[in-house]
Amino acid sequence: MKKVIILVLYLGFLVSFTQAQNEKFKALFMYNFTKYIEWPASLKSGNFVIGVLGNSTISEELKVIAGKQKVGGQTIVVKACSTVSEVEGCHMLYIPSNKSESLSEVTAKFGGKPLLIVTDREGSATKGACINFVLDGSKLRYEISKSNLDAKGLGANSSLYSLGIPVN
Amino acid sequence: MRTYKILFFILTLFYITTFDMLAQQVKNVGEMTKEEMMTLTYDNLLQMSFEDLITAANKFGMSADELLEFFLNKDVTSASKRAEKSLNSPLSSTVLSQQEIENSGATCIPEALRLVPGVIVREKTPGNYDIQIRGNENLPSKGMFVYSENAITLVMIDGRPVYNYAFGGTFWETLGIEIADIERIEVIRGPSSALYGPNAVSGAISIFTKKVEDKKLHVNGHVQYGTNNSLLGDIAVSKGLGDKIKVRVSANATKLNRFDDEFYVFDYDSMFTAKDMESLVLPGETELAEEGFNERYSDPELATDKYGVNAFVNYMPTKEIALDFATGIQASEIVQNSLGNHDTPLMPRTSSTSYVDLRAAGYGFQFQTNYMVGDQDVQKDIEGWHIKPEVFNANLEYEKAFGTFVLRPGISYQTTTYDDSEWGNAELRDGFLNGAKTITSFSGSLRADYKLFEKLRLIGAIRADKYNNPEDIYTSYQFITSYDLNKNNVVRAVYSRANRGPFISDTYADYDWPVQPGYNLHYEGNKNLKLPTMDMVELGYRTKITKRIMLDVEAFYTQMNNIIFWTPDQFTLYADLSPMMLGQNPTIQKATGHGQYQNADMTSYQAGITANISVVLSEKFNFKVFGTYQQSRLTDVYSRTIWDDFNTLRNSSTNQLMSDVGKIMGGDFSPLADPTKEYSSSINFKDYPTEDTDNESTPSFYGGASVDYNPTKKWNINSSFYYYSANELIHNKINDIGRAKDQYLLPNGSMDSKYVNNGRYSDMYTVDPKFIMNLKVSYKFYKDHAVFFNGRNFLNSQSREFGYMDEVHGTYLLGVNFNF
Repeated sequence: MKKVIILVLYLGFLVSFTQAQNEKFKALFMYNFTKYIEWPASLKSGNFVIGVLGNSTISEELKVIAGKQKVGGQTIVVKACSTVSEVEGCHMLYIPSNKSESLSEVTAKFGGKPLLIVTDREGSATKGACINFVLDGSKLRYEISKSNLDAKGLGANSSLYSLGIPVN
Repeated sequence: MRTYKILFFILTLFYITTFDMLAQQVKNVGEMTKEEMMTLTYDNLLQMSFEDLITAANKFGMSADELLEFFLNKDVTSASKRAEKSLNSPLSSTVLSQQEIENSGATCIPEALRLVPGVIVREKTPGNYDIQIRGNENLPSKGMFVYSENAITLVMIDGRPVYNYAFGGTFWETLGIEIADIERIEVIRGPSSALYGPNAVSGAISIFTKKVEDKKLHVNGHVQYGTNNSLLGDIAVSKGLGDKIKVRVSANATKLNRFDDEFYVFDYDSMFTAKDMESLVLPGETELAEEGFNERYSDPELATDKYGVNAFVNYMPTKEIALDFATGIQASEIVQNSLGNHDTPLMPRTSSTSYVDLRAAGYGFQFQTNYMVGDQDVQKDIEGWHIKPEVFNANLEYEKAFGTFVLRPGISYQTTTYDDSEWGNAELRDGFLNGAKTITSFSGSLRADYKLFEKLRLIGAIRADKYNNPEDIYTSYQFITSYDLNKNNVVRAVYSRANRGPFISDTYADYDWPVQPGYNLHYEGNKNLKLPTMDMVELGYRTKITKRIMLDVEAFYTQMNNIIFWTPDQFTLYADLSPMMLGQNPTIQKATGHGQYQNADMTSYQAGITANISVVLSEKFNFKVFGTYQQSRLTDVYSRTIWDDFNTLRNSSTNQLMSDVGKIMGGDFSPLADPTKEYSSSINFKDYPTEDTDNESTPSFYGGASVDYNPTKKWNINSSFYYYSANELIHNKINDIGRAKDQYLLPNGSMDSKYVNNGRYSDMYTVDPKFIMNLKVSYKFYKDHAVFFNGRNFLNSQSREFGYMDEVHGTYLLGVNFNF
């Protein structure tokens, strides 16, 4: 019994270690997205708000970045959103995979608004997400949807498409 | 004093360069190795371009697999002279990374070898070590220490052999580079002359120096100070000049003291203070035994005092061509075992050498040439041992692949000259060599590597060495078959043969040895020796038991022949019988003798098994455990010492004299017809019965473990362990004194008075098993600067590690590591 517990504990440790690494890089990717995407002039002053729907360790990673970097001249603020309505005012929203079912609610509520939706579930790019993280084997990549970005009035530098996987 | 000056220089450099700090800029991520990835800070990642970030993310940290790959499967270059993962390397080998060595707190390269399976590491005096891969050194026993100088392992720095050809062996303190200069150490176990050249008999130790990675100015260094006045320091400055040139300059200094303050004398089997040594007279003699002791041991407490300065330049004119240039100087004085026949087992040795090394690689070609010159007093201030070494190497290899078949031919040239003419009088032959003596060798080699069906790999390597002396051509070869059972399991079988090269002393010794007043012996080399050769059969198995655990097992069987030793063979007593005409005793005028290096009949057999388990539990915690069990047996051993031989020779000549004396006294005056007599006698070691014995000088079991834990990014706790079982080293000074205790037991159960009188140190040659634990705790207090506590032999186990040498106690150091 002891052996099983130890095995389970250390497997759990290992899994959580792997996830932690993933979240760090996803957060870094998200920061980099902001360098390639153009928000409307009205949103270029004040804070740059990144919303995270629900609980996700990515918030911690984003906060680290927020402490070190800015977007243009804007200070980054990380906002935890427990409901979809709290997403109001965010420039960018991250929907963790365990909250993927909320994607449709988000697109319904924020449809044409310049909110960059970043998801983490297969197929999300066709359901309204602008950028969707995917794992190609063990490599982190992202799908990027031009039509969804256009619909939201967000312009993206062509490099962002070539570095990612363009879909629709 | 010199060491303190160097350390002052290091600290000054440190202060000067602190004013020239630039933020670390990220270099081309695509070219980074995983180790470099690991050192990237969060800030580096934030400042990278997105493209680079994507590359970085994909190289590192995205999956546990990648991480485990990194820890378990370090690149091994030497094993096939091409970079390949450990799992697939075809020879028994181990790679020590810079991080592993640094975390362990090893204070010098030999000490770091305690982290490698299959290597026996014993500290003779603080900072000076005996290193053996598997064993088979110190043969034959009951010899002088010359046979225990680690003569059958080839040590290389970036492919340049660092080997002492005068008496054989590696003078570790003369390498000139230290831990801080190293990127990794690869240890190959088993005869590997076919791949590396002569002297890779028991294996090869290949040291690779650090590569400069980015263009920015970097200053790194350590200083540590501890108990017993131990002081070590190093500093390195590296920078890129333009896009194609990278330069690194480094300096290091080490000063360590002995733990014993007395000196053992064989004939008395007792310890004496330095003061008493100055007036020491051996039993039965009238002259001072240690004339000049004061000058020789200017500091009787010193064990190691060494420093080195090196410069490395890398130039890549195009992407295809890499040029590397290295140069350096070193100076050292150490105390360790005497090499010749001496009254005490300890002797200081000084060295000051410099080298240049040039490597060029491109388009399949690999060229290297280097030159070393210096001044070494191998037994300080003892007549005959001061020499000027000069070594030149040049080699060229070419690799061509035809699909999965790779061919690599090569040629090389080496010339080694040792010259003692500056310090001796050639006419008196009071130098060891009495002139400049040279050994040259031309070699050709060919290696073929064929991969079949993606699973089966066949490697064949053959090398022919032609020396000037001895004149034969020596062939060494290696045949390896390696089969991937599946992605995680590899088996391999190896058959190889390797030979040791000739040594200057074995070949050219020409020394007039004043054994006793009035008795001079011609100590001679032999140009017709057969070179020691080892044959090995080995089976190996490597498996990744789980993603996190790698197990490595190898079973080996070796046989070594043509072991070389020096043995007396002739003695002549010159007497004048004419005084007998006047009723007086005959006059003994003088005595001469002769002895020469010969091939012993003995064979050394060894069978053993080495196993290593490496476990990576997480990014924070990994450990490994390893051990070797071996048995060695010697057959046809000539078990007499040179003193037994001298006695036999002398008695034989004396008997001839006494026979004439007897005749005269009995009235037969025929001997007086020609009263000046030469009574000659000779012996041949082959005429004596031999014995078969177990070889007790190699411990039956040796091994270690190491545990590395990073509780947070700032802390590192590392503990390493090393153990060897009992062993002994019998020196030829053993006569009545120093035999094992049970040999002094009289039939009635009491102890022979000889033992009681000399009792305390009669076990000087037995080495008890020793368990050594090291502990290093390091804390990064600001960015990449760290303070650390370094405990060597933390549990302070005080026993001697090598026969007749000093006790080695624990040393506790505090230090600072700075990285700009």
